[in-house]
Amino acid sequence: MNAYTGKILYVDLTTGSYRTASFDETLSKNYIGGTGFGVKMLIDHLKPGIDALDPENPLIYVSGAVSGTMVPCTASKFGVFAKSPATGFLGEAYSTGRWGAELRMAGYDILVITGKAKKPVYLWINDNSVQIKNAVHLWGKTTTCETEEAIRKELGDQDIRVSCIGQAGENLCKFACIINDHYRAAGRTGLGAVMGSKNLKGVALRGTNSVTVAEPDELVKMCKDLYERAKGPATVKYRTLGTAANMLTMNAQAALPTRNYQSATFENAEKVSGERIKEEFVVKTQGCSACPCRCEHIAIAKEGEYKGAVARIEYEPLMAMGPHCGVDDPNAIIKGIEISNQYGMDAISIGIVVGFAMECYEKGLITKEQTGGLELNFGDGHAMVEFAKMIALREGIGDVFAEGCKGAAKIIGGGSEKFANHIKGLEMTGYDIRGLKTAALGYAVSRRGADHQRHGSYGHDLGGKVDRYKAEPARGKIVMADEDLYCILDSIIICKFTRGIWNGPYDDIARVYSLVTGIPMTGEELRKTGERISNLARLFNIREGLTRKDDTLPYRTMNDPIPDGVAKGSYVSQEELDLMLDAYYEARGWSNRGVPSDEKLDELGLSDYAAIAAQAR
Amino acid sequence: MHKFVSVDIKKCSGCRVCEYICSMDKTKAFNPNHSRIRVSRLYPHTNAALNCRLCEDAPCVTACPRKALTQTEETGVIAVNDNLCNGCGWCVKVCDFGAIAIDPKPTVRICDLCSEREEGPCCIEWCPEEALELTTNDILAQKARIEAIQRLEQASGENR
Amino acid sequence: MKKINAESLVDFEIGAESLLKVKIQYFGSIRMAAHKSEEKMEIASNSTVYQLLQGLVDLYGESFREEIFQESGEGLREDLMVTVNETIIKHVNTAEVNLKQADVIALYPLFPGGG
Repeated sequence: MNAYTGKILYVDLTTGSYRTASFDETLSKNYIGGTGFGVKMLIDHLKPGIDALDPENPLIYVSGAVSGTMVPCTASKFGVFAKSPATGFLGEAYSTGRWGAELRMAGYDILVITGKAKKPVYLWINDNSVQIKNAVHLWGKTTTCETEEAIRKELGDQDIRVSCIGQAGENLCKFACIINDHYRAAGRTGLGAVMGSKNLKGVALRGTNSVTVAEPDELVKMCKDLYERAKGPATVKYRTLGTAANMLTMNAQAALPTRNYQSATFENAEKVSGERIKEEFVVKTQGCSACPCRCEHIAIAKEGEYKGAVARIEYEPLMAMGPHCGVDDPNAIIKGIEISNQYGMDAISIGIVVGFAMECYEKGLITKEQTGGLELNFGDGHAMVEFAKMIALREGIGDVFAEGCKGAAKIIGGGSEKFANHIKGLEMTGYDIRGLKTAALGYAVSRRGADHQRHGSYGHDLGGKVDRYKAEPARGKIVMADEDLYCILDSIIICKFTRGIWNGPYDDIARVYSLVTGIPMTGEELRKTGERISNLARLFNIREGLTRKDDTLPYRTMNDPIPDGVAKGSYVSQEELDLMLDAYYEARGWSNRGVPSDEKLDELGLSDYAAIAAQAR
Repeated sequence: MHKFVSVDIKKCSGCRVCEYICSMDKTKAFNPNHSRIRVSRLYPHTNAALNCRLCEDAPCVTACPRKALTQTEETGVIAVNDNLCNGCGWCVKVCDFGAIAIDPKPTVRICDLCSEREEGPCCIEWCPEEALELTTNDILAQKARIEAIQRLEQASGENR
Repeated sequence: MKKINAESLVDFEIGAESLLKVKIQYFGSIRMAAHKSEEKMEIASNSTVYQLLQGLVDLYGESFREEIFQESGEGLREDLMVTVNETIIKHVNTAEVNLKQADVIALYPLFPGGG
């Protein structure tokens, strides 16, 4: 095969052994890579029903179909999969930077890590050599400045790529993440805790093999065109302000999560706007491997106690640690993002959890004694940062909040479940979906939990295509189409920021896929593959106990109308949700309990998994 | 003065497109390790692509114990005689810019300005930031002088 | 107050009763293309939103056009949000929505799959 290495590396940390296996075109053509590979490997290798922190929960790294090539904005993308400790369902996260390309160059498309080491270790893969190395001296250290640099120094090669956890993962924080290449994260669903539960500090890689493609000359020609498009108008906004520009947009449309979703507009949005951050705090914009867009906006805190903190700015963490916590000081937010990177926490979840803690504090459900003297008031940037540290280190009551919103609400009680904003146990993200009904459906059914990245359906609500305040059956088909496309984007793996450069988009993507891998693929086959992967992921979740009642929305979204701004009064009622769920399940060919039908599974070549659906019916 | 491919460190985004296209052009496969131009990223935000600067009196040529390297008078490009090169790596040691790598053949990997290519260096053609250019040290010095004068003028203008 | 003198807007005559005074706000990368964050303008009284956008393109040129319209054809970019007095205008309606006195038109880039 071209591009694909055809090799899987299995590492068992309990026995300290490894073996390799092969895969062929059957897997490639039917599952592509990325999401497809991750879901397929996980459903085939996970013992159903085990705890996510059980040593037998496989931690699976996967490359994308075109990783390691110069197809724009794809070279280094990779995925990480396991059963999620936060949700108990599919854990999946994607990252980029430089690590992903190196996995292919080291000779593997898939890395499956099982078991638990007796003492902290890290994995060192250097082409054919696979070693499990002592990491006792790295345990307790931060990710980037300590672990990454220490491993490079110890192994004597500055080009070694490292994907590792910080203290949050070691402490099994439910939203711990895995950091690579300093600023990049496989962020969501708590995969850092899975790594920590295995006593695994990180995976270091160095690969020297070439990545071949089926039709190099044709591919280069197509890339020329794609690069021109990627440098053009479709991506200007990522290069200039980046996603942080969403701040004022969401604020104007009363869709900006503020003070734990108590409001949907933030009176000080201008102070933390993308425009201001770019002007006053961003010092450099750099790019991932093979990326003509360059959108990594690196910001440095300018003043105050956090002066000098360095972080990459995107809308989600800016929102989560900014307006969502009532904080209007970019210096504190930059520090907050730096903390998330260093300690290895999902930078969205930490902001949502701290904001949740602030409301608990506001309502007297937790006290100053419990927070170690920290006045956890909305708007206090210092308290936000310091509490984030306490959570990562599980200090004091930080221990409770390290369980995530859902887990913390269970322990704290007092009605806090009513303002714990999560879906399936994964914290909400940066859109107040009370006034974005298509997005609300996308969030409710997303396989990962609260998530805008599996569908991007808020684009319809805000882009002037549908009535954002109305719940209509037509949204079912819309969300399904969005999800299946995003499945493919996440399988090839293509940066969603370049969505606009692909004509079709399935046709262009299919063409690139064939030129790279030599495997024939049409746009329609690709679309069907996206549908296949969506359905297989659904079956995985069903096998782990998912039912229709899990496809829901946070209590606040369904009971507290937006109190301010243009969306005032809007919320999603149970009737509206049911109407859209019915339509979505129907569009998908699922029963009205959300279980794929035999016909659908047959159509997609998933009959091998029919027993899972049968049992759920 | 020899023209060589030079990077503007302020513009380089560390995207490695130059490494991908160079390795594809030279080896028909993607492999940044085989690229003649190599990107380094230093935390927190420094990026630069470095390659052979075609030194006027190239130390690599002098250092080679087998005289396997020769520098073309006209262009300054450094060529290797495969029959003589034994991969000892002295040339790598003396290059101040890390612009040389040893290929297992053995032969030396060093930028040849894509002399076989009509359009010239492919890294320059593909760099999305236009951070690479074919230039001489004289021209670089000239640019530095102009920028310095512009800064001086701006400063003295502000003081008035 | 500035007047747009662009052919894409319907003929106007100087005289208070036949002009609308509107405010236009620019966000994100659109702000950079317009070189300002907002401005007040006088436009012909029966202008539609679409006509206003065309007029702005005439005023600000290619980089502005790229932020608003698709590369080919006359449709608006899918990732563009247009609001009039904070209400999102559906793209298909922009040629039908007539502007009124003191309307505030705002233009935002959207980020599908962002961050």
